[in-house]
Amino acid sequence: MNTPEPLGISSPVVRADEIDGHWSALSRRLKRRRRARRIGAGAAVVAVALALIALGRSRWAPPESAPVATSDAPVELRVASARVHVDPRSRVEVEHDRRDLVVIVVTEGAALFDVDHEEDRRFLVRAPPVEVEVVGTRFRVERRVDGAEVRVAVRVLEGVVQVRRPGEEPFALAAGESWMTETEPRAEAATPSPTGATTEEPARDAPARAAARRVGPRARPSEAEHEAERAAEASDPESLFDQATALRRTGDVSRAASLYQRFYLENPRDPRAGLAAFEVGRLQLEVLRNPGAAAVAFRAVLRLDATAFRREIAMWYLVRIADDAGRVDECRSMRERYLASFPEGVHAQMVRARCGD
Amino acid sequence: MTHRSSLRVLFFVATMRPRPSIVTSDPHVESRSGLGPRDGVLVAAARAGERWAQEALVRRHTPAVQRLAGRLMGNREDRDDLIQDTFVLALTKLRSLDDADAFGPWVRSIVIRTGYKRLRRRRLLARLGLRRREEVDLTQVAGTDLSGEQAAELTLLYARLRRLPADEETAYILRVVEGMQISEIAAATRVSEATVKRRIRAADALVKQERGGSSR
Repeated sequence: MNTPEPLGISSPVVRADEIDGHWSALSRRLKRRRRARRIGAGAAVVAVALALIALGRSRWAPPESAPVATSDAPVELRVASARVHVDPRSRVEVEHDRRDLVVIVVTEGAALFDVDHEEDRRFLVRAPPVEVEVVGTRFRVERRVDGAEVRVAVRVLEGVVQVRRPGEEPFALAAGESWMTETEPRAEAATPSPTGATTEEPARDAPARAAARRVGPRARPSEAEHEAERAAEASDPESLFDQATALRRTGDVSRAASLYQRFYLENPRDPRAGLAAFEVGRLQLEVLRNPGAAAVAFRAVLRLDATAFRREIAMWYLVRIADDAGRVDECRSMRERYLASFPEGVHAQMVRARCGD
Repeated sequence: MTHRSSLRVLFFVATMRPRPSIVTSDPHVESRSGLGPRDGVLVAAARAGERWAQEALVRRHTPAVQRLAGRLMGNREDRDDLIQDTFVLALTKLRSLDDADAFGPWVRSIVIRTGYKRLRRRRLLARLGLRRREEVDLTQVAGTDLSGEQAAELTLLYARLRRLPADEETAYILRVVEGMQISEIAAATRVSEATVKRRIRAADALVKQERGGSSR
């Protein structure tokens, strides 16, 4: 007796949305597994974490009950996920510390901010009339009042911030960049309404440049800033990249993304610049859930990286980000670019199904 | 024909030849365009915990996995569970894959073995009255071009297969519906070819017997 022959029927159709669905369900399940494994690591880890928390509490001054910091000595505050190193003879106020928004006002002097990105909580620093919005970063804000005049300086050590002045286009400052207002009349400006995501290089065209200037490194750094800068500047490209990779592996993705970003901004000709930008993009999108910052990085991949498969994935992500945000024109434009470059790409089917067509 | 016109013809023929294609014959090893990374590259990155590589692997192989899982399980719910179980298992056991470029065949063998276990469990639950026997959802088994006759035949076939032991059902579906070679089925289910043939024949005999019974 022979074995039966195949019926030769056609295969069922697999739709792009089904593939999306499988991946998102799988991704959630993998996350749960990882979480369960972490929990299963046991009491030893919990004990260490508790010890670290206890140690941390003993080091930092209680911020919740002290919305105003003003002292003759340097003070370190903890506000939400941020550590604020306040310089001597400076005044910093916590205007809002809510679940969705933190606003800190530097009324006099300077402070160094070390902020971890939180998806649902915006972090703003005001040094009237300037306002700085944080993407997940380390930066210093200084406000000097001299009689009737005021001067504000912002210096970014890691990551990206968005700077706004009333009536002007916001612009981004990236790691290693500084910005300073010219002296202007002292006037406590009303809080401008916070808007938008970080843009790639808006500072080039921002009208704010007319009344402000980016300055070279170092302007009266505090002790805390000195320490941070020593750590940061000791890094040559090699160790910077390695340090970012090590942070990513240990799960400190926010700082890893900052260092990768610094790497590709400072070393655009390095063969790993594209890879670093790609890392920033996927960390921002998948882990930090910040599609705006991810889009900035993926555009940098297209600029810096000649590797076909990373360009393909970056374009796919840009299509997805624009589509999810409802930016139809941008989505279609990127879709055309993708299909022209990778008509048979791994994600071509998904790309075709995007942009509301 | 002059010498010059012969040359022209030759030139024309030469330029009409299809260009050498960069499309690989094995979609499991390399992307169709040849521009994407090979499975081996993605597997290496996924082993290092790169999520984008895991996603690329899942997205690339989901169509094949979904088709196979749909045919084995016969309904959407079980199919989706099987797909999830398969990829979770594959991504957590990536280090046990010797030939990283063979991710496709490897993940298919996981579908088959995991599917077999699920079918066996389903049988047991049905026997204990803890689960009802589902009707087959043909959209999971075949394309939309299926004729009404074929659809009816397939529906009956799956209904009959539900009464077989899980190992015989699996072997029969893989051979008759999925069209796999005996050697492939043997490798995927980790039994000898003789055993595969025996299971398929046993299933075929029962299917024919029931077909005869139902037509009487």
